[in-house]
Amino acid sequence: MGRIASEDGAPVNSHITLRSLPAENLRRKPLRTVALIIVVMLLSVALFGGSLLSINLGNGMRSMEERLGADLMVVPQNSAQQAEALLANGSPGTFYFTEEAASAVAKADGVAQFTEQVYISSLAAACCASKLQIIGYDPSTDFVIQPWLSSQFDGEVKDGQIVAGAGVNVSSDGTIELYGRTWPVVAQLASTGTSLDNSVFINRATIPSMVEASAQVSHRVMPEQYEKKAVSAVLIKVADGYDPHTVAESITKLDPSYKSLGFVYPGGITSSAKASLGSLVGYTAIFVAVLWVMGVIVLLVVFFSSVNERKREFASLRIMGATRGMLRGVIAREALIVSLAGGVTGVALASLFVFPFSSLIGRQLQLPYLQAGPLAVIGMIAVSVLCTVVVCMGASMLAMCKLARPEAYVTLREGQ
Amino acid sequence: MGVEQTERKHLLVVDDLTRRFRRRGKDFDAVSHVDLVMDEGDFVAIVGRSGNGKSTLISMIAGLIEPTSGTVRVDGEIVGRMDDRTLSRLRNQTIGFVMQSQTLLSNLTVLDNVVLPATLFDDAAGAAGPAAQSDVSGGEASDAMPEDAITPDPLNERAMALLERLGVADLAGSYPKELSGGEMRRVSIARALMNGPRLLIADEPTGDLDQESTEVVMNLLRGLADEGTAVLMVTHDSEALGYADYALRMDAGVLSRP
Repeated sequence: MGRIASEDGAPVNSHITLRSLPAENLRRKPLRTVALIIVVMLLSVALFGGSLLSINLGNGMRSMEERLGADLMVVPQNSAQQAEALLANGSPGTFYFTEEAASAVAKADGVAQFTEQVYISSLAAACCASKLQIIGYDPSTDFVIQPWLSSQFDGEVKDGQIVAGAGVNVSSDGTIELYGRTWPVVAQLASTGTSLDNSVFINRATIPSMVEASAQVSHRVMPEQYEKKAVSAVLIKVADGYDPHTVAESITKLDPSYKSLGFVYPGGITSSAKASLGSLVGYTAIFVAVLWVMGVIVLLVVFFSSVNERKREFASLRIMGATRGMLRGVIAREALIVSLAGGVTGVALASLFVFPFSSLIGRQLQLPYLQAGPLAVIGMIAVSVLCTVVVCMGASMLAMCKLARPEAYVTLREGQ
Repeated sequence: MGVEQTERKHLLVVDDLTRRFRRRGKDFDAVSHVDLVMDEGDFVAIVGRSGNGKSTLISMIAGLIEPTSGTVRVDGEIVGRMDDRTLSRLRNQTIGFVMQSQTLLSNLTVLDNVVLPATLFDDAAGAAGPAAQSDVSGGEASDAMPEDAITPDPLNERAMALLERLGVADLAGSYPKELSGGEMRRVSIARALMNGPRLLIADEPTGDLDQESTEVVMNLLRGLADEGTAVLMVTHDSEALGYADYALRMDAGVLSRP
């Protein structure tokens, strides 16, 4: 007898087994295998990507709710929209009162606490690291920024110092360039998923230096006479039992000119963002569900058609002594290999988009978007892969029921 | 007591076996009250026109379809009362079945197709009957080999010996789609013999074969019977009939001596 050799002439010292049969079946039907893996991969991309997107948006919303500690923002005439954008996930802006308003506003009925903030936008030009929102706050009265800062930064923000949001690029030497001047960054905050990530926080006393710096690079952000007393917004916490809208109304009654003031209700911002988020999450869920229904139908069609194609193969296995359990094992292992390959590839593919472009996604959606933590992500990966495996195995087992129905003999005599 | 003891002596006892089908609203017996007894070493041929129940009969003997009435006993055990695992084990280790149609697995090479039945049950490889044992003894595995040489797998060796005996060893690495009908038939026979069955059932084993191949296959079947394997063959081939101990005729489901 000649030497036993494989197709390529190499000596064969191992043999086929029922356990290795599924892999062999998949290997010998590359087109069918790749098509199945692609379908499963699409399911996995949709489930993992869609779910992660929804989770991140939900996180962003919660974070935004936590950060917006004021009930009412009073802003200059025609600045309400800019202020809303600043709170949600919009672009940086500069606006301020030209007349002293804060102390007058504070006298209104229902105001429990108030603080002033100054908003300046840096430039997307050579003078600045990037276009950022500069927020000047008053540490002596602040009740919005300070509690959050102190939970992240243990210390006092001194004049000339900066605390940077999570999305701000800080130089390796711990500074940032704004209006041609280098400012020391004393802390960088954790991500919130809101526009605050793209903001820097300074003591209000630093505002004049910042304005002067802007004047040095030929773009004075506000006239010299306002730099020390500029106020962009008065943030109000209303007294218990008062509605922010009622307080706003009482403010307008203080002076006829106050009717033109802008009133922003951070709670309202949250509700409108919540509504947008709700519809986006709803559409995402519908999209994922439709894709899954289609994917499951495709899987069922592919499995059922392959069962028809493979009837003879399984009848043949039965005749040579394979039990029904062995056939189920072959089908299940094939489905497991396909679903794991597709599931893992899908998660990896979705990750390639979701993680590196996280901040871009947030900006494009114009909604608070906060990346979920590693544990949640790992959990989502496990759930996505598990779901694809369960669906794939389920579809294959349904097909198997059909396969087990006709007797082997009948199948093999078809067409004879 | 007498009946039980007599039946246990025979390898195969078919007792009053009937299979009824319904065609266009009418019942008909594809197999009608068939009795058959075979012992180890018997070589029985069944002849008859197409559609007269030959394939239905042998499929019932292998437990592939259930009879309407009557029993099939293999080695004293009633096939119809076996659970799936016992019946599968019977098909795998005691009965070798060569179907009329092509039943090779298209994703496996010829060699793997032949080896596969020996891997289904843990004890299958060791359960080979006399025919397979004689095939293995023809291998070269025991020859002195250098220490670093790869030891060929015993199952591959046995499969190669069978393929050699059937004249298709050179096709071991080929896939079924690369084979002719006759080559596939010979590989199917090798596969049926892999576990050394005590009862070989062959449905038209020479159907696609030329005269030379027919002789190879029939000499092999005759040799198996001589070595103690019971061979039950369905055939239309008058040339093949001469190799059998005797022939039975199947006519309208009834089995009789011609």
